[in-house]
Amino acid sequence: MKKLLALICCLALVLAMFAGCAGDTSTDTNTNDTTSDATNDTTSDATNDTTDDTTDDTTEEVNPEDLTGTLTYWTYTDTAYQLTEQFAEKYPNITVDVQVFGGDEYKTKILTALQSGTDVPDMFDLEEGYVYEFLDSDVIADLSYIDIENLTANYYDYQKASMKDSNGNYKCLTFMSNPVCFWYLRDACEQWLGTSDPDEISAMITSWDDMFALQEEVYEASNGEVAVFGTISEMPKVSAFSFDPLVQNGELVISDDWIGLIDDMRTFYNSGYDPEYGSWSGEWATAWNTGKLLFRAMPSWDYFTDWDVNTGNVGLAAPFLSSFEGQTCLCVYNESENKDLAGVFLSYIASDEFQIANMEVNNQVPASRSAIEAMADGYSAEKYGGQNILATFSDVLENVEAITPDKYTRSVQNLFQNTASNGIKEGKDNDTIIAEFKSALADQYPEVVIN
Amino acid sequence: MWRSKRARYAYLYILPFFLVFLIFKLYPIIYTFVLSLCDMDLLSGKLSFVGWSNYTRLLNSEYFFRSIGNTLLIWIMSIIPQLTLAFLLALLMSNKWLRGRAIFRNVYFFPNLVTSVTVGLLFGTLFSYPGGAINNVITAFGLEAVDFQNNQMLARMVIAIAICWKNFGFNIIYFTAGINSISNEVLEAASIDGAGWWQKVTKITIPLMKPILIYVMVTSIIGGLQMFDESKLVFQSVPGDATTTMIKYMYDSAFVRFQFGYGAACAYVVFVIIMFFSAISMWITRDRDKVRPLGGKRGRK
Repeated sequence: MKKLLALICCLALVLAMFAGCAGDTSTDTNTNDTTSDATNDTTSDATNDTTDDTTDDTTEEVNPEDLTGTLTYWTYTDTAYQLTEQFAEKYPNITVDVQVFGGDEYKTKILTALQSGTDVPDMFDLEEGYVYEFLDSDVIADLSYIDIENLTANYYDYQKASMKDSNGNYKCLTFMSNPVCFWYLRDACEQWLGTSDPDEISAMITSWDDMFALQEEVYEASNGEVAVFGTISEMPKVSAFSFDPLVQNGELVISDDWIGLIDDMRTFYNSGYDPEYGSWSGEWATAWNTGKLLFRAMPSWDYFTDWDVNTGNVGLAAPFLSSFEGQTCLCVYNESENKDLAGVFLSYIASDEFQIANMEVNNQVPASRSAIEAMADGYSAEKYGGQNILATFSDVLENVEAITPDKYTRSVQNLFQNTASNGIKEGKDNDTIIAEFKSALADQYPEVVIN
Repeated sequence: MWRSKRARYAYLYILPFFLVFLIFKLYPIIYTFVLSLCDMDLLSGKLSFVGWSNYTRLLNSEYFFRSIGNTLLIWIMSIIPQLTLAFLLALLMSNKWLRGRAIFRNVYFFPNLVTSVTVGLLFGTLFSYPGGAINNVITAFGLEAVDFQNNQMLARMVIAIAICWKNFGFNIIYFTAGINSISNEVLEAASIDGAGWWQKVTKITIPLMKPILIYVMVTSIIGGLQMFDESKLVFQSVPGDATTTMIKYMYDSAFVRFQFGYGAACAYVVFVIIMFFSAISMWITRDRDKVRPLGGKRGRK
């Protein structure tokens, strides 16, 4: 009996192992199928269907109420509910079942679903920080089936570049821009800098040296109570997309710009005027809320941060370098039975009509240049002291470099920022910092060629 | 016949446990090992066999060894005060003259009910620089604020304090149970023989609590070496990755960089390390009387 039981247990274990392998094989087969299906879909059914259903919809003016069905949409942000509410107003007979999964585990959840091929949503959001790990896969639909180039013709160049996989195919759609600006306190700037005008403030800070000079001036005038800029770790945020990526074609390339950034960070840290409030720390928030910190470098989504205490007292100045951070990228599952309906949803999300409404209701900056231009004339944001923030955002967005990121771009930037910040705090020289950065990079991504 | 039929039913009764164990425990353990010998394509889940290369990479990684050192340092800084405090308080609360023991026990246990994430964020805020609560107290005494985050050893100590604060109440429960299980007769006999408080603690209480002590030690080693939440959340970035623990290194590899094969290899090496330290702990606290039976070798002859 014991032997029999042992045999059954072993058999169960072996079968379970094979079940796992079978899963892989089937996924593999699915993937292959996906590839062929995807290709076929794009060349035959899907393209034709979608062209009929979506692109032609716009040209033939199909009544939106005639489109019916249900879409499943996974995301990590509850603002998705607002997107679908607006969509429902135009397409009342298409139901979008939004499922929000908060926290770090979202990416593991979507990854598991895509790997297993079961219960995969028709559409899902991926965050800019990891989207490029996913985009090259065939399980994510090539959006050429909805004539994405035409839909995003008015997008900023960097947006178009950022929606592509490594082969140059559009694999995701973003409907927002997240330009990084200098956020400043109007009353404090008026008091210490003599102006709260965004253009004048932008003109005052044309380099980090200008920023450091202001820092010194204000620090001395306030007896060390007030700081203009809070931490060295925010400095790469301003520069991130103005420099060449650190990893290009799988090889580490550290341009002089990056070395210059370390020098600037060190200058600031050693100046004696750097309060070094940790980014997002309690001190950082308190200093900002009490007017002891004049500037912070933040993307446009900082609007959602709790800074009610300064509502109406905040201004935005275009930094001397242009950058963005934190895009939400919307993808379609290639095997979805509702690809056409998903195409309708994406087409709507890409439209100026939606993006203007989204800005008005949710304060999410449009990805479309024409949507921003349509709104910018005479725009006044009450929460920003009546500033025409769209004009400021537009200035930044026009100058963001059009780089198609890959899985290394943002994570290696973050690694550089951490290594540089910590190295400077420990008093290390550039060579040591670079050597440590290379060593950490080799540990995390051994496939990257480091010379 | 009756015996074998009865036995058959017994097998049937234990079958659910073994099925669950096979599917949810043993299979993942074996699958993780298989995964550690492969690289996984992210979205297809396709495995490609790479042999021992993930282990080679891991064993050549100074960052992984650094994470082992960090884990051990933080664990030692946390476990010694944690067990000492728990044992002393358990001893104190085993005295019948102490009023409100139940209240004390509950109050000490409360931190264990707080999630690790909350504890991490709480201690990060308490020890932040320059305006955290601790630094406010320090500066109130005219001293200079301390940048705990940017000092490697202090950053580790803060995490150790957080872990200690969270868990000491839990160990009090075990120690109290151990102390209460000691027969009063033995203690009374010792008192009659003239044993003092210290002698009773060292000669009776501690030796009789050995099984509990071993259990607490082993579970503390297993739990302590798996520390993750506090080390991830108290401070976001510490120079020299001084608070990166083994599990955080594994998490970052597998779930941030999506290198699942490497993460699996890391999990196996962590498993071996924990097993090693657990074995050492059991060896140190082993019952020497059982190893050497009454009379010793000569007696056996």
